[in-house]
Amino acid sequence: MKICRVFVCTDGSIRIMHPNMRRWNPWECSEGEFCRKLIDASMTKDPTLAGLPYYDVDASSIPSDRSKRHAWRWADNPGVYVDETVPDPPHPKQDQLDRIERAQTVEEIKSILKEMVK
Amino acid sequence: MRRFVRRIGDIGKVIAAAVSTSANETITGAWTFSTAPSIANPDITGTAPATPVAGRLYKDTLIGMWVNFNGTTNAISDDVNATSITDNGTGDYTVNIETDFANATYCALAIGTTALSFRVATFAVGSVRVQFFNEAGTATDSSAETCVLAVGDM
Repeated sequence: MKICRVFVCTDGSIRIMHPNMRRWNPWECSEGEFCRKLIDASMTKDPTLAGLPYYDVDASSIPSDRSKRHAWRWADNPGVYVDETVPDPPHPKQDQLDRIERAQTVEEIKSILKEMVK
Repeated sequence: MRRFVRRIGDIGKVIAAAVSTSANETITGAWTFSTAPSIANPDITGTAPATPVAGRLYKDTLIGMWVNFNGTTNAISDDVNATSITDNGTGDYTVNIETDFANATYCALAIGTTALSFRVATFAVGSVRVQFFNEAGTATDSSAETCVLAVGDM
């Protein structure tokens, strides 16, 4: 069983470490044992993971649909899940999109478009 | 004549033995080979001077880590010196490195077939964090062929 490690950040978001399975030699140890050893060593390489609580999970339990990746959260049961209450991140050009929606005349739209192509 | 040929053969064996060095022998001076020599794992120990010599290898010009991974499943397809991928969020990945760089001032690059641009968010001796964006500047997952490579002193 391939194992991933889920780190829970202070804001509730999660980071998931995936081991390099190319290195697994089935003659040396089980898949799970390999994953844990590799992840233990790997997590010391990233100082930003220090102190974060973590949980080891079966890789197959991680959602495959990443369209709501920003809303992935952790709970002991069911593990990684999509929290529908987390708002979508704002579009970086939302202000300009809103102005286009509000525009009443062609001249206003022209003005906004000119700003966008600058 | 036969003895002469045998003698020449002996000399050839001596030369071959001298050229085929063990791990701790040093070849000095400029050597010219009539055919390209095959060197399995040479240790490159010299660092690049301010004005590098064209065509010469320096240890701080070697690729210390490269990885090709799937930006959606985070599975590594091929690599040198990458132990794992951390999925930090949409289009946000940390590549963890087995043998550390000597310092965190190495150069790293990333590319995918779908995202428009990338940035290196964090350099550490044992990991590098990269983020991908689309045309609008929104974080976006990279493609099935996502590549990161890092060059520097190890």
